[in-house]
Amino acid sequence: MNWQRRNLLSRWVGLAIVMGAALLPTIWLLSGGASLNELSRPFWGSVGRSLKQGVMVLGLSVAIGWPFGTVLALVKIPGRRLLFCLMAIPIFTPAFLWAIGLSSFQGFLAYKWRAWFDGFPGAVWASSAQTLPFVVVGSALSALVLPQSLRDSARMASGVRGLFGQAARYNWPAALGAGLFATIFSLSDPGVSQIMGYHSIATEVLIALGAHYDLHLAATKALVWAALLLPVLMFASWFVFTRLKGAFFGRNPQPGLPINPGLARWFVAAGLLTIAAVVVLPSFSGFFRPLFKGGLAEPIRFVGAAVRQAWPTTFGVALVSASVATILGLIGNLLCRRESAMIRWLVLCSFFLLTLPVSLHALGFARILSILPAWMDPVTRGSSVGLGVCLGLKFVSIPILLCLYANNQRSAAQDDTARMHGVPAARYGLKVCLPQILPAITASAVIVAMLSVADVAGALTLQPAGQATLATRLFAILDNASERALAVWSLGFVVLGMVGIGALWIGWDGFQRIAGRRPL
Amino acid sequence: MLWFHGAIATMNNQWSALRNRFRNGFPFLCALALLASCSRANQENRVVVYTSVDDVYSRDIAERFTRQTGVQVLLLTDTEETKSTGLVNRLIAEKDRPQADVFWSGDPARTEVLKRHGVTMAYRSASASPRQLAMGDAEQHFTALSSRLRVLLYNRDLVPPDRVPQSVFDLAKPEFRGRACVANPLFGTTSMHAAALFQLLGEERAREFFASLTSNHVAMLSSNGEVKRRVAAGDYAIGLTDSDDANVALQDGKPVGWVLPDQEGIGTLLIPNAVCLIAGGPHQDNGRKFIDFVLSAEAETLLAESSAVQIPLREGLPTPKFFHRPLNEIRTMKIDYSALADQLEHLSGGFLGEWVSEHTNEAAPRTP
Repeated sequence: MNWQRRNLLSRWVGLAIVMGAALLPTIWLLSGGASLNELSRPFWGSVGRSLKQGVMVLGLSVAIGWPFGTVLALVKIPGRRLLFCLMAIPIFTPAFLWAIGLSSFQGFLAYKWRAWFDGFPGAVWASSAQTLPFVVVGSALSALVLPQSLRDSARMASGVRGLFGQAARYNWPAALGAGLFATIFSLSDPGVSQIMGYHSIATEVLIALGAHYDLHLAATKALVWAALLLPVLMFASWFVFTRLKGAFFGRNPQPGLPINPGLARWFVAAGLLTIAAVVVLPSFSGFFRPLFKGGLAEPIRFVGAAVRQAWPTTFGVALVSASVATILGLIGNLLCRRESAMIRWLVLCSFFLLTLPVSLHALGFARILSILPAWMDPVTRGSSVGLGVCLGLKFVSIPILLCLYANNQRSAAQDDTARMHGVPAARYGLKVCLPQILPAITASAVIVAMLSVADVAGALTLQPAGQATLATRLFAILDNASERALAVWSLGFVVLGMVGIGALWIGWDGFQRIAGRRPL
Repeated sequence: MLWFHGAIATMNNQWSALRNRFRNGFPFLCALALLASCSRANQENRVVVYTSVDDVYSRDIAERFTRQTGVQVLLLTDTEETKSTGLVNRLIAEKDRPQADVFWSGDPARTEVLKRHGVTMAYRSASASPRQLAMGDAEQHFTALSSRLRVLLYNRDLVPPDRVPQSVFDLAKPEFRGRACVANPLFGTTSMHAAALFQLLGEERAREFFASLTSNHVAMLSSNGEVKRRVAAGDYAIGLTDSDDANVALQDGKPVGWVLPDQEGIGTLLIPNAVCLIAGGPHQDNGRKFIDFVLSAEAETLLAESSAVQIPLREGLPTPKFFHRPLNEIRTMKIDYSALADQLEHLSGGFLGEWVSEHTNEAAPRTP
């Protein structure tokens, strides 16, 4: 029997357990029963509007993010890390903060321009700002690993244009996949729609929760939306799956060097910086406007106290969620190996999971925790572990997809050769497979940690009483702290995040150097 | 060259020292963070309070209570912008084995919802005043305390003194066409106000009022906080919000003024806080003590003196100077608070739900 098909049944069961655990909290909310008859006319209207928003957001982010990421990966430009850090800001910034910043930005504009940052255009703008970084990171990471031999042959055949053409042919599935992934995820967040005044599907779920207090109805709406998206999700999973199989045969695993176009690299850098600024600055400028007037000593003191209170919980949540998501993602990958049907299902379930709002997932999780034995409370409900596990399960799609992508870049012939020569599976996994997917593991752990830090919906539902994360502290003072305190808080949040990403990158490069690899 | 090699060697040493420190320190840091977040798990002399009253106000009261009784308060705050995940939903989700002992709500409608879901239990506080009891639940599932009022906020740079609005119906006046805003009437205190209007005016007149808002291009924003921000920034001339928002805007030095609407007509909406004991909460005795404290004259005075400028319900306590007159001289809407939750449920599933959907997308641009 082909070793890839060994223990197939138990692996299917394992996979069902992993994905079942991730989907269980939301499905649990349906236990009280809800009917499709409860879905009103506004619900169906919001479905259409969300689809319209999704198409626009996906189109915009891929149109800008794909070339951006490709250039960032292939050209040696000054300030590349800074650009990456800038583009990563929206990933770890709570969506509501982003939308409020954009809403405040309208104050800078003449009345006739304000409509471009409100309603449908505002929702598209705010959502795109959050999906674009995923496309940039996805396409850049995908182009970065192009082997030097492939780059050389493309350049020899048709110059720099050929290189870009080759890279684009290689990384467009990653760009589109990341765009789809981020768009589906952003549509499930009610913050943007609510603040921009756009009645989307997320608003409908919000109404079920915040106006009806009906968890079953909210879960029904979310699951109906996910079911309506199923054809798109099935296409996406099929698409991602077929591209996953396009591994290079016996390629050099070392990533190639970026090209140096001389003086032109400064123009490229200026162009990319402008795009990044257009994406990031409107929200920023709106939010930091109050900093320009009045003293800062008092707000800084206020924020310092809040950070001291919130950092242990935030750190704990980020750590647990990143660990849980990454471990489960790896388990999912190990169970699938290269079995086509399993990979298809895993990808489909991962996309499906993304369509469900974090708030519902967290409420379902809270309900499950309340029926567990009381002796588990100190860990499950009295610490950041419960929230971390919940967010880890919610974001498990990220390591699953990234690791699947990385794992399938390895040639199948390599696996067969190792097996024929009797290399023990553990040693092969540790020495060959792990180094190859380590960047994906690291990237997914960082992304999950960042998303967990930015999460408000899950944290408010599961954070232990008397504790708070940085995002929920920020949220709690939103209405009644002074504008300056809020601005200092937001700025501190962003700077801390950027410093964190920068430190991680430098650390990762150091690690690569120690391991004798070329840094990214 | 020697100095160069020396520098490189020093850097290498420092790097490996740093790496070792990181190796030793990182797991310790992780354990510390997790322990720090678990550290309160074993303490019994505490009370867990979920509150939708803003953090800046509720924390002061909680700290004062701890100083007086020695009971540690684990506070979990929420704001009206937390609609998706509000504490009410958390309490419903945790109903089988609640973590909270007390829920202190910014309005009585949410406590009524909890009562219907079987989350609360009856408790008649010995420290409650007759008015606090009268404005609370008849079966003592919640007791009312300090109140806010609905106010009309206006931008002084955009509205001349002789054109200051005096009624919520002025939102539909042609002079404010496209220049007025309200928060989403499905959520928070605006939903209570909407339900109160339906109760007082009747279905037909209330629907007409909402239709007039649509035709006058009144913008619907995400929350009262946003109404405050946008009116203060001059994006809109007038907006309907809560008295605490108006006071915070004034304290921030914004060019705004406020009026109590409908003082010659139906009156404005009084929104009392409500506090309730959670059925099956783990520290019920401490919960009762906390409720007693929140209902006391001391807590009501603190809330009145804070920037929330909440009006004490307890007889004999002065109304905050912000309002310029005592509570009994303010005309408030005469409504049945216990019926509001029913009405809200009916309206959000029917007329208001549809109105919000249509108003958001078709009728009113949100920019002046």
